[in-house]
Amino acid sequence: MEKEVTVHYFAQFQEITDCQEEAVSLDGETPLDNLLDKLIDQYPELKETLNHAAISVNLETVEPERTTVEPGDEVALLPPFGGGSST
Amino acid sequence: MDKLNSTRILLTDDAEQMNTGEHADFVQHDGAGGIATFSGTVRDNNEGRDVDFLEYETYEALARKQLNGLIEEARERWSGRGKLAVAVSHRTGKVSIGEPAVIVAVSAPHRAESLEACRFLIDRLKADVPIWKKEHFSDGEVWVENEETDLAQ
Repeated sequence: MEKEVTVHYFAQFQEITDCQEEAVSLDGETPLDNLLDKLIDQYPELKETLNHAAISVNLETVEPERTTVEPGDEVALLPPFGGGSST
Repeated sequence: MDKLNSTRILLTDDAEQMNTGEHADFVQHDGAGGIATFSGTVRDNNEGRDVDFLEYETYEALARKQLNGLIEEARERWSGRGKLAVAVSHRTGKVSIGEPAVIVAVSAPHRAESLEACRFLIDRLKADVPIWKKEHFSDGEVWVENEETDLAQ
């Protein structure tokens, strides 16, 4: 049985973690904040940008303090966007 | 395909696909009276620094979902005045000075809704769609944070 969530990193986060995505083990349903704390323990430099990042779970943006994740979920850390032209 | 209401979204690393005229052709149909296009091109400077090139990265699955949502929102908003055909494309990877990074084309029965919907889509794209931009300078590089970002709302 699957016991991991997939965490996707983009932009600054990808440079901090040096990977695009990774599998993180979970003991069943877990508050998203606990997962984020675990990631910050592993990559302390994530902390600053995470304060103003958005988080998506299975392509829905969520409020971390009110969200739980479970094995099989796709979590993405989304730094503030800078798309479009340089306008 | 129902051309009146067609939608095309491209997230591509291929500069050849970023052709504004081709986007206008895609949304053109016999019921369209107005076609508005916007192309955002890479500028050689930002905030007093010389830019060498830009680099874009996206979360494609979420970007497509957000773009489809914005296009549906535009259709709802302007549906009283007719249907919209929309083509939106954004580059990924390295984009050189002068090249289009983003193109939005909208056709509608009349000019007002094509212009308004095109403006709405490019403004919201920049705020709501997960696309990240890195500016490369001769002496460094930086990920740009858009103050309009408001995905969490």
